[in-house]
Amino acid sequence: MAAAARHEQSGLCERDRTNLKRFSSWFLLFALTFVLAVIFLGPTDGGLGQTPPWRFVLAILPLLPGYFASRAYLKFLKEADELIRNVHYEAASKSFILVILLGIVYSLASQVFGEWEDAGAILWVIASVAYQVNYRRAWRRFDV
Amino acid sequence: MYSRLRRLRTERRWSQAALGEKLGVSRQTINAIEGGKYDPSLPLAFAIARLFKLPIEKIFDPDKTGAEEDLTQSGSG
Repeated sequence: MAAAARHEQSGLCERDRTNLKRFSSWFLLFALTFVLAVIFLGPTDGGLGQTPPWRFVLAILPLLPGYFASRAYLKFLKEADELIRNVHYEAASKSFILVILLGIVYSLASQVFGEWEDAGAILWVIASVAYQVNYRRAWRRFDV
Repeated sequence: MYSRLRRLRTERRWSQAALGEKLGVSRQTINAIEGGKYDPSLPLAFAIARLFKLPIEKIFDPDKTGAEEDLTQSGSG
């Protein structure tokens, strides 16, 4: 059951760091394609994103890196130390609940105040920040 | 959950990192279990019991909470 040497501060071993790097790369690519899609599909852009085939391509463009980012994240969780996995589960579930609640509030509020075109991107940023905050809070709670 | 892990480890003069390495978990996991802040999974609890050659119930007690030193202090005070 002996494991490879772990990093003292993070508790991550070499395999965990490799898995995280793979996830980060795919996630970065996902973020870039998502931002590109938002920009080019926006109403202000008059070119590429306005013709039907390109609109479809842009809309599904983030799916592929998103799929590989999800797979890399699940692999990291599966192989990580159990406390670290617990901390990530907690961060993921709390940020997921927050985004679901905000999504419900937005869907109701948009009936009253109208739709906000950047809502998807903002929710995505909130989810990322909430994940980081809850991750740090969980670490502190375990006092490690 | 109450745990005697810290006492068992220090009796053998093992560091938390060394014990973590023997069990395939991080030092942080050992620290959290010893501090009574994290309950180990069943496979890890069995691995700990096997390593110390003790029954699980001699190491962990689900009816008590907190770290071993907390119980010692409250018992002596």
